[in-house]
Amino acid sequence: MDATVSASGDELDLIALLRKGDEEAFMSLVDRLQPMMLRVARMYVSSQAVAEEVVQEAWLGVLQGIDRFEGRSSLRTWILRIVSNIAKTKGQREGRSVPFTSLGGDDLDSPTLDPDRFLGSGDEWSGHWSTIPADWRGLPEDRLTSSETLGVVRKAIDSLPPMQAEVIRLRDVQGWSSEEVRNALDLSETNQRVLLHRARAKVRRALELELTIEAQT
Amino acid sequence: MTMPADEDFSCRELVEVVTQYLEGAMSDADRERLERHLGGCSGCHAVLSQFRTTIEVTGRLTEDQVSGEQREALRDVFRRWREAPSASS
Repeated sequence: MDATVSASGDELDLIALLRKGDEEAFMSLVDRLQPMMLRVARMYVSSQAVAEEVVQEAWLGVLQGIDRFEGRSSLRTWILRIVSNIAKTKGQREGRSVPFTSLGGDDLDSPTLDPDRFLGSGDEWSGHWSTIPADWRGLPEDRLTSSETLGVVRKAIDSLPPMQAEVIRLRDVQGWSSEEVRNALDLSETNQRVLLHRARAKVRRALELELTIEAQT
Repeated sequence: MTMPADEDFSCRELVEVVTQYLEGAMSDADRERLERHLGGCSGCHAVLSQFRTTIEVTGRLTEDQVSGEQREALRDVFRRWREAPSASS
C-alpha cells in the first residue's frame, strides 16, 4: 500500500502564509490550480459561466476552511474536492445528472490497439504482432519536442472524454501521484488506472499517426 | 522477431496491461511473466517504449494561463475575506 499522501513541506509553508493573509501566496495558488478547478467544475455544471461561479465559491470555501485544514491530504487534493462537491450540488440544482459514462467515456472496455495489429485466431502465432510497432527511439529528439508534435498531443487530450482528459493532465502533465488523483477526482484505484490507460493509448495513437506520416514523407 | 518461449502473455494481452505495469500495480508473478515476454519480444518492447515516450512528451505540455479578469476577481475575494474572514461571500 502507498503511504497516504499528506500536505508536503512546500504546501505547509503556503498554508501558513494563507492563514496569515498573504495575498501573493494566495495568487500563486490561484495561478497553479484555477485552470484545473475550472475544468473539474465544468464537468458537472451547464456552462463555463456557472463553472466560474462555482470556482469562485470554492476559493472562498478554501479561505474560510484553511484554519481547519489538517494537512491529512495534500492541499491541492483538498481544494479539488471542495470544487467538485460544490459543482455536483450546483449541477443537481440545475437538474443535470451526469452519468459516469459521459465523463469517463463509453470506450473503457475497447482494445488498446486496433485488433488488426495482432494475428488472428487462425494463425499459429495468434495474439502476436502482425506488424511490429515502430521504434521511436531512432527519431531525432526535436521530432518529439517540436511545437507541431506538442500540438498533436494537446489536441488529442482536448478531444478525450472529460474525466480521461483530467486524469492524464493531472498525472502526466502536472505529475500528481495516482493517490492524489484518486482522492481529488473521487475515483477507485482501478478506475483511475483504466481512465489513464485509455487516455495514454489515444495520445500514443495520435503520436503514432503524426510520426509515421512524417517518416513517410 | 523472436517469439517468447513462455506463452502466458500474448502481445495482444500485454498491451492491455502496460499502464498497470508502469504503475507498479501488478502482482510479482505477473510482472515477472511480463518482463520475461518483453525480454524476447521486440514488438512489445517497442510498444512499451512508445508508451514511455508518450508520457514524456505529454509531460512537456504546460497548464493554461489564468485570465487577468479572473485573477482580479479572485484577488477581490481574497481581500474581502481578509477584511472579514468569517463573513459569508
